Amino acid sequence: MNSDGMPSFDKLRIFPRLGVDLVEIQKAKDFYRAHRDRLKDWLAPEEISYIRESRKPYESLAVLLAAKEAVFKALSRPWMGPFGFGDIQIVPGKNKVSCRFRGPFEPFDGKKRFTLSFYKGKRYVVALCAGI
Amino acid sequence: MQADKNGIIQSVKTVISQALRVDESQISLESSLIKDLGAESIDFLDIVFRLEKTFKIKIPKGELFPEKLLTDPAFVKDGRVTGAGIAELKARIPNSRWEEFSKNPLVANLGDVFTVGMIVNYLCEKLEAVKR
Repeated sequence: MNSDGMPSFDKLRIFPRLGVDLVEIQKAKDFYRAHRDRLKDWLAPEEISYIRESRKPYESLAVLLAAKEAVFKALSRPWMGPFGFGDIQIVPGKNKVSCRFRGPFEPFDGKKRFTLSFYKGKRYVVALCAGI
Repeated sequence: MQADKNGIIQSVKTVISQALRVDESQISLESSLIKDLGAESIDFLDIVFRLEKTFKIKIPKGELFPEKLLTDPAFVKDGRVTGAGIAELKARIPNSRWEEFSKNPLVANLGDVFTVGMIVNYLCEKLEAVKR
C-alpha cells in the first residue's frame, strides 16, 4: 500500500517498467575528449574496452550512458549520484545487450529481465529499457 | 577569506559554464543545476572532474553529490523521501534548499536541491581543510 492506502504498482507488478533516455552525441564526444583518462573511475573494464575498441569511441560512450540511464529509470531510481552509473554494467554482446547489477542493485543480478533497444541518429542516441 | 570565496565563485561559474554550455551571466549561486541550468547525469561527472582539475583536489565519490542514499528503504517510500531521508540529506548537504524540497519531497525533485551555491560552499570548506 502507498501512503494514500492504495495498492502500490511497485508491489502489484502489473505493468512492465519502461525507461527511456537520450544522450547528445556531441556532449559524449566533448566528455570523452576531456575525461577519457577518468573512465576507469566509473565504468567496468569490459565497458571501457567496448568504448576503446569502437571506431567512434564517443558514440559507444553515448550508447552506454543512455543504456545505463534507461535502466535506472526502469528501476525507478532517478538519482544515484554521478558515480552510481558504475552499479549498472552494460554488457554489449554480438546480438544483444545485457546488464549486470552491482552495489545496491546486486540482488537483481541474474534475476531481473530487461530488454534494451537503441536508436542512433546523427545527433542523439536513444535507449529504451523495458523491464518486467 | 571573502576574496578567496569570490575567486571560488568565479571559478565555479566558469566550470559550470563550460560543462553545461551556458553563459556565465545566467549562473547565480541560487541556480539549480538541473532545473535552471539543464544538467544531466553525464554533466555531474563532468563537473566533478573539471572541479578536481581546476582546484587541484580529489573529490571522493559521494562527497559533493550524495551517492546511493536513496536506495535505503528507510529513506524513501512510494517515491517520496521520508523525514529520516531528509534529515540524512540535510546532514550530508547542509547548504541547500531543503525547506522548499521538504514541502513536496518527491525523489524526482531531488535534483533541484543541487545548486551552484552548494558547490561553492562545499569547495570553501574543502579548500579551507586542505590549507590547515
